[in-house]
Amino acid sequence: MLIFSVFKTLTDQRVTVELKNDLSITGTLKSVDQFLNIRLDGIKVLDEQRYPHMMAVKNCFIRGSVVRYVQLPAEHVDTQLLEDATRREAANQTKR
Amino acid sequence: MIELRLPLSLLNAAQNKPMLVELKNGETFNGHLVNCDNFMNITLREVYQTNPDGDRFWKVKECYIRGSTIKYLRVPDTLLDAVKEEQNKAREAGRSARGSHVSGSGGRGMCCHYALPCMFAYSDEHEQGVLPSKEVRSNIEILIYF
Amino acid sequence: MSSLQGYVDRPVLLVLQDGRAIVGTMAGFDQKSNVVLSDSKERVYSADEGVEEIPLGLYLVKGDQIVLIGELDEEKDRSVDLSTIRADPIPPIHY
Repeated sequence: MLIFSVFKTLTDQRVTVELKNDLSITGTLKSVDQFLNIRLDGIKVLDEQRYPHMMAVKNCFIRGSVVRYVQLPAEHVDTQLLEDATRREAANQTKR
Repeated sequence: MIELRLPLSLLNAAQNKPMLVELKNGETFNGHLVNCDNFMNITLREVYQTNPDGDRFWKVKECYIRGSTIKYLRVPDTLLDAVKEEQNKAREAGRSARGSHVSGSGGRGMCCHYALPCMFAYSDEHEQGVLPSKEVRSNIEILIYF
Repeated sequence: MSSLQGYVDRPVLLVLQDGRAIVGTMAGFDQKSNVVLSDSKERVYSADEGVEEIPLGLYLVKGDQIVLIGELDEEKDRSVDLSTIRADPIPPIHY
């Protein structure tokens, strides 16, 4: 649930999503849900020469289960805050 | 929001209709839908099963397919309008359309999967066999589709 | 799951886990991202031939098979001459 919240704070930022079929797509993060499905706007496929399949696609829904990595804009992630939140979540879970 | 349950409503409405089912391993099943549930587990009757390469087939009287093994289903075009109409009616009547069943409306049959005509030709007696080569099949495909 | 709502009745491109690319009109979907496409066509890509479109009609694709659903810019899509496109198919998903 923590990562879901992190993604929510990153809406309207440009991110690059690498899929498990080796496709990389850059776009503006429009929304994310609890499965980490992702909506991207204004998308651009890396290596369009090799992957012309999505030329006419302007925005897309990516299934969370096929995402390998998401490259985040470093300046918009407060890693200190993220570390603290992670510890808090871990502590909560051991308590339960 | 009718769209939100369209996949399962469509499947329900496909009862007694012909369909093509492809499994995740590439096997295909052509048959008429007998029954289905919310997991998309289905039973088909009068089934033609092909292997993933599409060069061998078997005739099966009835079979059960676990929903989680399915890649996609191909159903007759006419079902969509039938389901939408049914759902609109249900909505107007202010009751849930869940489990709605479209009784046999006389829609035209679906465009067959290319393997079907060859199977009929080959399966009169043996109920299983080998399909023509890829080249021949691709020609047949064109004949069927256009 | 609300993120698929905007695609209903729009022309979309569906990429499946086995690498298939299917275009059609999104008729509906559900919570598991099972999707119904009408007037769908498979686009078969190949490195030494143009793109071949195979009509498939009404299609129900299981959610767990879906990689991506993209909204097509119809004008841009029409302006592309598919017979001139040379490309390998999209690779299948490997875990």
